[in-house]
Amino acid sequence: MRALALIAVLITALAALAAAPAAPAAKGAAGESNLGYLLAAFLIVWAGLFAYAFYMGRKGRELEREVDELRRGGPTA
Amino acid sequence: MRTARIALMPLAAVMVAVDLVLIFAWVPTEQVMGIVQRIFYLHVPLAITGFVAFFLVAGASAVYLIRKNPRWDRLAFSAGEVGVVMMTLAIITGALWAKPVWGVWWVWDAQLTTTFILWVIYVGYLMVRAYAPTNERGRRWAAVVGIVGAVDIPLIYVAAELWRTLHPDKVIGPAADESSLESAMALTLLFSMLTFLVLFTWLLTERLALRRAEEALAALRAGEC
Repeated sequence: MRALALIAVLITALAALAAAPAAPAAKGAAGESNLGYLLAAFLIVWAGLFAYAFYMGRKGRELEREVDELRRGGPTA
Repeated sequence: MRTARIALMPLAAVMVAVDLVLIFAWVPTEQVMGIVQRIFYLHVPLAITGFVAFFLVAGASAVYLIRKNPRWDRLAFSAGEVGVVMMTLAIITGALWAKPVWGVWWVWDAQLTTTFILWVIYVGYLMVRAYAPTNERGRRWAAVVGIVGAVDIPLIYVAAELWRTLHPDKVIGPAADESSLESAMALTLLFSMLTFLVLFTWLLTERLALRRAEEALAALRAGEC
């Protein structure tokens, strides 16, 4: 899961930087670069998906521990 | 199910890596919009995956209402939650594309408004479960919301034909113009869609496993009381 996020973030950042000089149309009408919007979109998507997968993994482990404790008749705090 | 969960994660990781290489190193830059057009390879697959998730919610909810088997409710709930995550990201990436291209983050045109309504309906679907007086009622009420909400999906697709919209023309589906995409762009979009469908399937299997654990814990606690 962490490997997935790391690969995605690294490749996004490197590839976007690499693609920027080869994209003359990246300049908007006001002469501003749109690279920031592109990077923001990719980073938000991968960070969002990673955070969701991380949340599920952590909550799953907590629940398994609680279920084990209840089955053994131990504390659930 | 456990084997699928284990196999899907590395498959998704490899597909994400290949997809990013295609998006940034292979596909040509669109001439009018420039580099920001590459957001499209995230935005469209995220939206399509969201639609698939919500259709799954509707189908599983209908089966749940007929058979009353909690397995179908578990599938509907899990698909609903993952679908809301996907649709939220689709809306955010759409806004990040719209700002440099249209000059605004958001417009209340037909396609965007119906998409926003869809998102609100399925956030409501999750809230109905959380605030229902009993679990059984929450499941039934949510199933009805899940089925009714899916009616909005075809409406989003035909919104551009029914009302005036700023949203770009369709590039996939029966109403799409066949020549609207260059072949490398079409191939990259197709691969992106496959990647996001694999990611969705993996997240769905993870959420299903988590939901099962939540239900097992609730049953154990109920047995203790």
